[in-house]
Amino acid sequence: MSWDVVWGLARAEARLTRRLARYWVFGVLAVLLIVVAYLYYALLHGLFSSYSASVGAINPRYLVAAFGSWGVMIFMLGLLFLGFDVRARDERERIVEVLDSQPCTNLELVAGRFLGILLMGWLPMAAAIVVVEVIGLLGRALEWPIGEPLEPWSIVGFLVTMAIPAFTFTLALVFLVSLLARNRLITALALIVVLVAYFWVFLTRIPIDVASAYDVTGAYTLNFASELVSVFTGRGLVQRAAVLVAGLGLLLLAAAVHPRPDGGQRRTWAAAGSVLLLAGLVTAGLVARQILEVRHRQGAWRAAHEAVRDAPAPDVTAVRGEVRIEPGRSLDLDLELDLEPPAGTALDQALFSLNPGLAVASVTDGAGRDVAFTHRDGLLAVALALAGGSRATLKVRASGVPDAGFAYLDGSRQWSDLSLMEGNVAILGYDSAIFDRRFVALMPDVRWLPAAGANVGRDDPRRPTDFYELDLTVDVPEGWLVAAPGRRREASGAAAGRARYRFAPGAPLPETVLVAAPYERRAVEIAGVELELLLAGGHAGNLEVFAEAGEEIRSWIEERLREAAELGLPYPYDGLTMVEVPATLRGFGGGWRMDTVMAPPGVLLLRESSLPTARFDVRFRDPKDFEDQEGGIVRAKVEVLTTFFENDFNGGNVFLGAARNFFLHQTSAQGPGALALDFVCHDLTNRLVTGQQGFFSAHLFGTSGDLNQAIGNAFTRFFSEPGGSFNEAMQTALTEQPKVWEQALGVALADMDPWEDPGRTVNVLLLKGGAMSRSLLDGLGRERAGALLAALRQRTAGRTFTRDDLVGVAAALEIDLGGVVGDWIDATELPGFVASQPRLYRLPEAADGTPRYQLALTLRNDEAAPGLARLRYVPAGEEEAGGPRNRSRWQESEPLRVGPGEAVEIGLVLSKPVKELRVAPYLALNRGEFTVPLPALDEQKTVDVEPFTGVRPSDWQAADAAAIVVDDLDPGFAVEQDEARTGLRLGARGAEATLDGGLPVGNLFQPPREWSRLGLSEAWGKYRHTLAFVRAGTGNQRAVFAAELPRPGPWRLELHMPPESARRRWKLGTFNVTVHDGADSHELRFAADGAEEGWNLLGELEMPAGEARVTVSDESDGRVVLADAIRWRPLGTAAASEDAAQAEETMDE
Amino acid sequence: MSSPFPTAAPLGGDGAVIVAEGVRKVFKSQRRSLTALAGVDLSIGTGLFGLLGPNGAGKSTLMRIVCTLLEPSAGRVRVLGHDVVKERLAVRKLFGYLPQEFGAWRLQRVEEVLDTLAILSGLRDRPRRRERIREVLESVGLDEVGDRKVKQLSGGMVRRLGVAQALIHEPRILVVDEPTVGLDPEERLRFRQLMARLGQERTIVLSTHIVADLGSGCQDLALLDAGEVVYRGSPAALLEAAVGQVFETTVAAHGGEESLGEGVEIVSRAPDGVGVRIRGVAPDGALPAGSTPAAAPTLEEAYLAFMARRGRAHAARREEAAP
Repeated sequence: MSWDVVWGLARAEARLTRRLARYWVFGVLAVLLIVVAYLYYALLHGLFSSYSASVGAINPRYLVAAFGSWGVMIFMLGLLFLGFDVRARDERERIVEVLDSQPCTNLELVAGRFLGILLMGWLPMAAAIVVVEVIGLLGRALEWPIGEPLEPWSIVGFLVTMAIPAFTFTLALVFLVSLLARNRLITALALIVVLVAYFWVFLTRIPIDVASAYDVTGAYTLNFASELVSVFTGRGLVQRAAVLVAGLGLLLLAAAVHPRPDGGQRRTWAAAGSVLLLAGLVTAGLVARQILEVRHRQGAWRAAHEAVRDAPAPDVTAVRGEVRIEPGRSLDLDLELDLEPPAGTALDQALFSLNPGLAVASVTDGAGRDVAFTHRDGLLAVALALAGGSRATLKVRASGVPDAGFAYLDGSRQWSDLSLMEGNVAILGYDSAIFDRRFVALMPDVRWLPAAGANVGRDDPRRPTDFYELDLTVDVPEGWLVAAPGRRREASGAAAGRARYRFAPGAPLPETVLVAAPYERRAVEIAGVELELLLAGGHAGNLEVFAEAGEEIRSWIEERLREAAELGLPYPYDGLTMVEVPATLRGFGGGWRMDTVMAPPGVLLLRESSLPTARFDVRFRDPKDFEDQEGGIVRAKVEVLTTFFENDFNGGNVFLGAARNFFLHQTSAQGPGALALDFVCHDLTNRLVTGQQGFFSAHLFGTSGDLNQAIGNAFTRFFSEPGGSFNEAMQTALTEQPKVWEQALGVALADMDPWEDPGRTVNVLLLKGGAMSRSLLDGLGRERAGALLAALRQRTAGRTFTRDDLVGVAAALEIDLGGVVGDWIDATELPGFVASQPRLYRLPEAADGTPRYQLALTLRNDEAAPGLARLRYVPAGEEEAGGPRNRSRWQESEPLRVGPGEAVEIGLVLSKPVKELRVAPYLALNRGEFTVPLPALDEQKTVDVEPFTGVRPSDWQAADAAAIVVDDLDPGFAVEQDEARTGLRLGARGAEATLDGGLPVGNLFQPPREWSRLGLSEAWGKYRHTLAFVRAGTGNQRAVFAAELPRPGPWRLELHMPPESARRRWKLGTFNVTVHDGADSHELRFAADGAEEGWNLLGELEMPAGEARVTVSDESDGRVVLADAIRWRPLGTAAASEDAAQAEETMDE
Repeated sequence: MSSPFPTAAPLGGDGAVIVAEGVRKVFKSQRRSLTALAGVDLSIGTGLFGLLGPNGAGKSTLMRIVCTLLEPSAGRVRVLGHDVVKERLAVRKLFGYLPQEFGAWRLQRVEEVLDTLAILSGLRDRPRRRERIREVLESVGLDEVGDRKVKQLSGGMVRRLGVAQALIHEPRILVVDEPTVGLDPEERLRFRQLMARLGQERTIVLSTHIVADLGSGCQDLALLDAGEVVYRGSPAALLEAAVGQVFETTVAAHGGEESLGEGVEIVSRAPDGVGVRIRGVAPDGALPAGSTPAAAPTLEEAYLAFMARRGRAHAARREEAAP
């Protein structure tokens, strides 16, 4: 093959290509997509990464494979429309015979043209990268708020290993099909079908790990870019080579089927092409097979470990020894393990989990005698008999490269279960451990240290957590630093070119992480605890941003540590290391819980995209912005740092992570209710130690739709509801789902089988457990709640505790847990609150002339479980202060405890009248806060009575005995439809997943086409405040309120309407209401647009006894029809008049 | 510097450059088969060689076989000793080919087209390529439009570009198929002159149904009809054979031609006073009454006379009129 000919043709083809309008369409589109995507990421990252550690994940510096893939995909399509003319254009332009008569081979002809188009396809990618890089470099040089230069190796990865194989394969396929079909239209149609089918199968039908083997684009083959680990992986490079080779095979086949007669080498090319294509496919298949083999190995390991899941295992009380790391090559362990049999039992062998990538050289006892052992499938079985109450020491020597596949064997969601569309969880990282020549992360679950028992079921509440003392010396190459539990101390005896560090944290821990790399270090000692920060080179920029707040941050930490110690929960270790890790490192664990693994004992893992690279500089560009802020810029920086982690929803909240050390890493629950106990204790620790709440589970990262919906709901709540962090908004968005409530109401925490639906269990725990810990904190007060945890930790440190332990500790402290939260582990009952109409009037001024206003209302708990609630109110003049996100505009009462079936009257004397009032139950059948309508205040009228402040019992009853109310949540409510809707219904899919009491959950801003349910605090409801609503239609959908009227006679029929403020977003018109009494029907029309808030008269009707059906049609001259609640009230009886009067007086919502 | 062109095999003992032996070409389809060439034997030497014949005679098929674009169903063709089937690339290096229908990439400039085709033809040396492009553009009169895009050229210019591309690598053999189709008279004249000049130093195989295209430079020709060579010899012999078959006469302007009788092929008409001066061919030598034998028949008349003798005068005449 002549290169001159190929190149000459390539140049000609490139010229032709660049003179085609469609080339520029695709080229400009691809460049624009890449640049716009980059700018989008850069903008979001630049402006918002300092608000949330999660937002940092979209740092464009590391995401060229993600946003570049759009350009690659666009140009893959473009190549179709450029390559399909490979022969047709010559025929059309009548140069085909001249070309055919040229003394060149078909291979030269095809290769030349291929190269020309390929080059022109690649150039827009390069151009886009140049544009992006220039923006990034300029942004950095000129300190723009947006713009980050791309990580250099990721550029190479994108342009070389991603784009070239992708384009080669696509273009060669286009050539082959066009030369076979010899018709542009057929070629285009066939290839579009192939492309669509490929992406459909690739994205939705193949497991995420296997899909990467068949990834033509390369977007899923390259690692997240990183300064710590290479963007290239061996497997990834092989996969890209496979795509390239397969593409070249297709090219040779295209040359072989070219209709032009040439030198007769067709068979050679066909054979060579077939071989290359086969080689590419086989190589991709081998990559897939390798992945499947990993999965197979994992399956075998899992089976082996499941078989001994409940086998007795020793209690490891101490781990000592040496760890030598040759990065990328070997891990050598020389360990001593102190063992005890489980309490009250004897063992005839000691069973451990130890990574199968490590070869065990020897196991000896404390006297140095060899002990027989086997090490298969990651199970180290040592023939060591342990009599009850005895102790023994084992010495284990092992070396090798840990197999990352050994971790998280029992994850409730595995890569094999997920397609790419469902694989959002990969955002949280996918490497269970990293043993690279540049970076080492040995996560606990990879079992690089022997751990007692099987490597499955460790979050089984029946299984005790094994706590042990640690004393490790780690030997690493010189210049490397190590993060492991506790303070890092230099150790003697390092060989030339090596460094040795000792870690003996001084308190028990349940697991050990070890992270090592050539880091930069910052450290400070506070209250005897060394806080160390290990960052990758060049990532210390943010430390400078926060330098001036250093003392403030130090004080803040010192205060937290001091307060925790005062509560009896001192930080247990001698050091805490925050260490940067690449985004590829998997940040979530296995089991049903899929909890974060970013906060192992004594160490906090910081994603590279988090604190190290977030754009805090943007936030503090202009110090003048903070001059008026209390505490100035220094205080602002502390607050920014706090909210940065507070708003993390990727499991990287360092406050919550650090709080684990105070309790969860010291002791944990076992036995019935252990899940809830652990959750509540951890959540309570969070609130006590850090003042924060938060929760993480990888179950959040389901399908794109689920994740986007959850984030969307969280944003809606974050911006529409007062106060709170994004994390809190996310929690609320997750837990307010009807399906979560339905499970929470149906199953007691102690009876929950987390494996039935792990994701929902997490949400139920979050819902109920979160409320319980809040109840404990507010109900007991900070000191007593802290004392409870402290006593429990003190009593059970280094081992597990049971519910009885907790009850015993509480009893010793004279804490009535049941009185605060009831039987919250075994029972499903919840309190339910109703409120009277509040009284609001002006009192005589105080002695100093301050105005005084009396606010009083009665709160009744109509259920058999006790509960807590607060009143939340906005004083006059604060309605707009600081905007709706201003937490301070809302004020709260102290928590009010209301016993089962009891009512209390609450009185507040305020200096300003109240403008908004809500009741906020901690956890109740109300499912959330509800608004209490306030009466009009007569400022001119002063009521001279004794002010009432505080809480007193009340005998108020909410019931309106004579009235019959049918709410949209009552059994008497239903919706009817003449016929099922047919035809294409975009967005209808998945509606079943969001049902609330049988109706779809509606969107406030998008009235639905079918009757749906909407939570609205101003709507009618005994506990929950909801209404049904529908977009106005033709009358074929109806809401029906059915009630049983006890006696014949005149009845007053009313319809409840939310206030104008709540319904103004919908354009309401006239509702068509029909009343059926079994024999007769009455047509009524209700002008909803001008209706009053509350009950509105529909009509006074003479009704027989028996069932009365009130039907609200969806036919209306407005845009939306509402069905909230109806009320029947008898007319003409004294009782009715009395009831009516009482009902007017007491608004019980 | 080594020549980019292959060392041609020595000419045959008779000086033949192209030798076709028993060449048959049958196009088969599902419904029928069509014999385009029915056993052609032909030997072509240096100089301008004319391949005449009516449309459908098999000229283009033969040209395509000679140029390696088609494989013969039977027989063989050798070009300077190279077999056109077994040694395609070697044969192609010897050829410059201008097909009957020539176009070029409309979005390329003239020089770019030539540059690309020059590379494909084997001209690897860039300066030499530049020089050749300049030379051939000048020789075909396109030197002023070298930087113009093909889509901006007239039909004649495109045809000349076709000649230029065929000559770009200085081939030993030039094959031109129906080269003047679509050209205006001036361009056709220019083309004939060009062919005559080029024919002095190489073999030119000019396939045409327009006899005038052969011009004076053609010293050897073959007549192809229905896939067979029906005449092989010099134009002079063809002319000589036509003497006595070609006549001149003057007839009345209206209805005069009918008096010439059936079977007579009229070649030209020219007004002559009140009548029309006619030159024609009598198929069997029986000249119309009142006519006189033409002293110097043209090649076109000789071709028509030959075809008339074969009873194919109408076919030949119709094709002649076509342009």
